[in-house]
Amino acid sequence: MQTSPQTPKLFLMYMLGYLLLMEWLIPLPEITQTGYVPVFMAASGFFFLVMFFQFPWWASLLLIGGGLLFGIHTIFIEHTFLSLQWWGAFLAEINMNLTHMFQGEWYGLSDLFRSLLFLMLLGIMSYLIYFWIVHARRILFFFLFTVLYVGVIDTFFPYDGSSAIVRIFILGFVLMALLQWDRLSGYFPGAVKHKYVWLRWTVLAVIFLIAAAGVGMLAPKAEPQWPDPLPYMEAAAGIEGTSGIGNETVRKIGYGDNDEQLGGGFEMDETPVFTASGGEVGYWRGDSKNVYTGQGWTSDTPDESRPESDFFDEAVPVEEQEVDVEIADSHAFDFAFYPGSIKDIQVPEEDVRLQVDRYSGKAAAVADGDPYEASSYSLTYAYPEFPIDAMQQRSPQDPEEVTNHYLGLPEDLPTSIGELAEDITAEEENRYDKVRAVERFLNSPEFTYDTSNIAVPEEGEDYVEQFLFDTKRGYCDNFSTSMAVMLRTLDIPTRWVKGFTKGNETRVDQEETVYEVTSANAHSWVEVYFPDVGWVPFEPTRGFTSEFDYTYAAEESGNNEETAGQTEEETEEEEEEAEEEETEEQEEDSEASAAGFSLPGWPIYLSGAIVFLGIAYMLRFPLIKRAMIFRFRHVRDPAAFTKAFLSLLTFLRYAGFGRKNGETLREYGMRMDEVFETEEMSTLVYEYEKIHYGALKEDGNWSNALSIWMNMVNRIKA
Amino acid sequence: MEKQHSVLHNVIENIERVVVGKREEIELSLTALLAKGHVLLEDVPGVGKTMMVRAIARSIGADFKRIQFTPDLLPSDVSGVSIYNQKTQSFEFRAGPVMSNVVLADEINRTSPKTQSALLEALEEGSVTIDGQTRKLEEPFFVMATQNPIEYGGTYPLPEAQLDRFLFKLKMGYPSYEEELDVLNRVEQKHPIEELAEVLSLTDILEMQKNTAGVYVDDAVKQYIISIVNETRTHRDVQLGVSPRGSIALMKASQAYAFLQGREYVIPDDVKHLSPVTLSHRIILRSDLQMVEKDGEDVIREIVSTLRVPLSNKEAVQ
Repeated sequence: MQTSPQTPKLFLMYMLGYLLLMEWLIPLPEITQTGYVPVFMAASGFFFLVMFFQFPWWASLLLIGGGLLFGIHTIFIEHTFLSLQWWGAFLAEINMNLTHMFQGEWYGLSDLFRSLLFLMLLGIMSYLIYFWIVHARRILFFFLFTVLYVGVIDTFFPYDGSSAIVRIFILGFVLMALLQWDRLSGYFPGAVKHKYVWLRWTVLAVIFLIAAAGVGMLAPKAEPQWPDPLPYMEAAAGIEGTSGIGNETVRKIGYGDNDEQLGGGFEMDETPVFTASGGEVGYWRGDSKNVYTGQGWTSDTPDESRPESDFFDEAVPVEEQEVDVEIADSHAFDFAFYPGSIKDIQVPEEDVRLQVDRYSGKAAAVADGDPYEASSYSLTYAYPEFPIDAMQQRSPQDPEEVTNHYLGLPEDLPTSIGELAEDITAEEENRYDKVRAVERFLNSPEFTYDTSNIAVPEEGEDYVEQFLFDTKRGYCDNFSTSMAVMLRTLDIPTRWVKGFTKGNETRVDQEETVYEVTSANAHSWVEVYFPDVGWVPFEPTRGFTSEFDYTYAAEESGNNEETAGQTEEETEEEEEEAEEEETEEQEEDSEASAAGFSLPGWPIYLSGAIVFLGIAYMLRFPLIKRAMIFRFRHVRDPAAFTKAFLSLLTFLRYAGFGRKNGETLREYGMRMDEVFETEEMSTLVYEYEKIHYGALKEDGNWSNALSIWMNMVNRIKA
Repeated sequence: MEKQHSVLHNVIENIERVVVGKREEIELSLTALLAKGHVLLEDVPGVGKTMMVRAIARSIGADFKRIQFTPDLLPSDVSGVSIYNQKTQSFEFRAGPVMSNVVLADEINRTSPKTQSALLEALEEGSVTIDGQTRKLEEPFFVMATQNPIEYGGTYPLPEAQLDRFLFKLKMGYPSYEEELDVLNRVEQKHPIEELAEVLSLTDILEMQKNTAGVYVDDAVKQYIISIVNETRTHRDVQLGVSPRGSIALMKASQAYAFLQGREYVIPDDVKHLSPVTLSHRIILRSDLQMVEKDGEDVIREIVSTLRVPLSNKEAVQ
C-alpha cells in the first residue's frame, strides 16, 4: 500500500469519520455507567490525528501508547504522570486485572483496565476508519451500522437519538459524497483537471443534505406503523410484565388502584389529570394502604367511614382552606384527591355528602348512597403544621387500632431490613428523629432516582430488600415502601400513601394559584403515626423536597425557634430550587414537544436561505447570461471581443460544454454549432482566430460580432 | 491572394476529374508542392498514385518524368550521364529523369541504396552532382516517391534518417464502392488524363511558393508546434522523437496548407491536421510496439488529440 498524500480533502473525510465514531460514544453515559466520555473523545481525536499523519510505525505506536496512558492518567491516577509511583500504581492495577483475566473472573476487572481496553478499541477503530476512508474509500457499512446502533439505542434505552440521527445522516452522506468523488476521479483520471472541483461537489452535497434534513425535520411525521417494538416483542415472546432488559417492565405512571406488584420502570406521561385553583396546597392525597406483602401493598382495614377525615389530633394547628378541582376529561374518579385533611366537599348542582374511609383516608362524594364521579368539586380542607416538639415525645403509646393495622410485616421479611433500620436509627432516641433518620438515609446519594430500567422483584424476592441492598435505584414507590417497611421493623406504625404532588403552578395571582396535575405527578409517600399528633406525612424519595410544614411550637425557647426558622427557610429554598428545576425541565419538555408546531426562528431563516439559494441556483443560467450581456454590451475593439469570447468559453464550460483537450477552437466551434444548431459559434471562432492567430489589428465589424455573440450566449441552456 | 486561392481551387477540381475521391491526398500533395516539399506515397500498386502525380503535373503545365526503380537501376539512370561524343570530341551531358519539374519515383525501395541516395540528394539539395559537377535542378521541383509496403523480398527499405527528406508520407487507400464505380465509368471509353487542361503555369507556382513563405505564423501556433514535437520526444511509445527539422517541416507545411485554404495566417487546425502526415515518418517507435497494431500516425494522432491547443500567445506562455 502506498502512502496517500495528506490532502485537506483527506483530512476532511477522515474527520467526518471521526465525528461518525463519536456518535457511538455520545449515548454511552446514558445507557451505561461510563463516565469521562470527553476524555475518550479527546483520546480518539488524538489517535485519529496520529493515524492521519502516517508517522513511521514506531512513532505512531509510541504516540498512541502515550495517548492511552495519558487518558488513563486523566481519569484514574492521581500521581504525577509517568512518575515512579504512577507506574507502580498502574502496573499493580494491570497485574491484578491480568490475574483476574486468566482466571476467568471477568467481573473482577477494574474500571481502569476496562477503560484501557476501551481506549485500545478506539485506537483500533481510528486505524480501521483510516483504512476504510483512505484505502478502501468506502464507508457505507460503518455508516449503516452507526444508524442501526443509534436506532437500537433510541428504541431500547432512554437515549433520545433524533438529533443524533440527523447528524449522522448529514455526516454519513457528505462523507459518502466525498468518497464517491474520489472513486470517480480514480476511475477517470485526468477527467477533472481543476484542483478544487471536489469542494464544489462537497458544498453542493452539503446544501442538498441540509435541505433534505430540514425538510425531513419540519415535515409532519406519520405515527409509527409498528408501535414501540418492546411490548410487541414481549408479547411475541410470551413474557408478561418483564422484558429482556434488566428484568424491567415499562408502564405508564399514573394513578392506579392495584399496588400488589410494585417495581419496573415507567415512562413519563404528561397527560393532565386535573387542575385545581385555590390557596396553598400540598401533596394531593388519594388513598393509603396498610399491608405490605413483600411485593407490594394491599389493604385489610374494615370499611368504616366518617363524614370528614380526622388524621390529626386537635393539638395540631391547622389552616382551613378551599380549593376548586376540575377533573380532566380523560379521567374519572369515584373518590377525591385532597391536600391536608379533608373537611367538606361540594359538587355543583348535586347534593353530595362527604364520606371518608376511616383507615385509608380515601374520600368520596356520596350521592344517594353511591360514590359519585364528580367532574369538578370544591374542597374544604385543613392544612396542618406539624409540631415537631410534640412528635419528639418519648415513649409514645400507640392506640390499639393503630398497632393492629399499621405494624404488620410479611413473616418472611428478610431480617437484613430490620438490621439496617436499627443501624440507621441507633443514635436516635425518639420516634420523630428515627423517622427523620430513615428519611435522610433514603435521601442520601447512595440511592439513585430513576424511572427506567428498574427491576421487578422475582418470585420470593423482597421488593424492599432488592432496592435497599441490590439495585439502589428506583422511584417514589421504592423509596416510600422502603421507609414504611423499615419503620415498621422499628415498631413505628406507618402507612403507604398514594396521590399526586402538588402539580405545576400554571398561573399565580394574588387570590389564587392554578395547579395543573398530570399523570407524571403521581407519587407515593409515607405517613407515620404519632400519638397526640396523628398521621404525619414524610417524603423519603430522593430528589423530592418535602411539601409538609413541620414547626416547633411557638412557646419553645429562642434557640429552637431559630432552628425552626432555619429549617423552614431551608425547606423553602430547596422548594424553590426544586421548583425552578422542575419548571426548567418542563420548559425544555414543552419546547421539545412543541417543535413541530411553533417554529423557532432559525429554521425559518435557514430554510429561507436554502430556498433562496435553491432558486438562485435554478435560475443561475439566465442570471449569468444577463450579467454577461450587460458586461460586454459595448464591445468595440479586439481586446474587448477577446474578453467576451473567453467569458463565453468559460460559461460554456460551466454549462457542461467545455472545450476538450486537443480540440482546436475551430473543431470546438463546430461542435458547439452542432449542439446549439447554429453557425454562430464558428463565426465567433473565425473572428477570434483573426485576432489571435492572424495578428489582426485593424477594426472589424464589431457590432455584428457582438450581436452574434449575444445570440450565442442566449442559446446556451435556453 | 484571393485570386491565387481560387486558382488553386481550380487545380484541385481539375485533378479530381482524373483522381476520384482523393480530395485529401490531392490537397496534401499541392500543399507539399507549395511548401517545396516532396511526398512519399506508401500503398499497394494500382490505387491511382501515378495518375495523381501525372494529373498534378499536367494541371500546372510541368513536364513529368517517371522513374521505375528496379534492383539494377544505376545512379546515373536517375540523375543523368555524360557521354563522350565522338563527333564533337567532348563529353556531352544527357539529363536524367530527375531533371524535371515533377518526378514520380515508383517503388523507390526496390533499388539499391546507392541509387536511392542519388535521388535523395536531389530531394534535399535541389541539385545533382554528376562527374564532379553540381547541376542545379529546375524550379519548381516536386517528387512523389512511392513505396510498396507489402513486398519485402529484394527490397531496400529507406533508412529512417532518409525518410525525413519527404515532407509528407501519405497513404492512398482503396476507393469506396461508389468511387470505384465512378472510376470505371470515367475510363470506360477514354482515359480522362489525355484531355486534362493546364490551369496553371510554372511561374504561377513559383510565385505561390514565394507567397506561401509569407504566411503569418503566430507565436501561439509556433508554441503549439513545439509542444507537439516535444511530446513525441517524451512519449512512452516513441524511441526516437521528431527532430527540429521536423518542427520546421510542420511549420512550412502549415503555412502552405493555410495558403491553400486562402488564409494569410496559420491556425492550430492546420498544424493539427498536418501533424500525422508530417511527423509519423519522423519518429521511431519502440521496437516491441511494431508487432502491435499501432504505427507512427496513431501515436501522433494520440498526441494531438490530447494536447491542449493554445488559445493565444499569452496562454501558451503560461
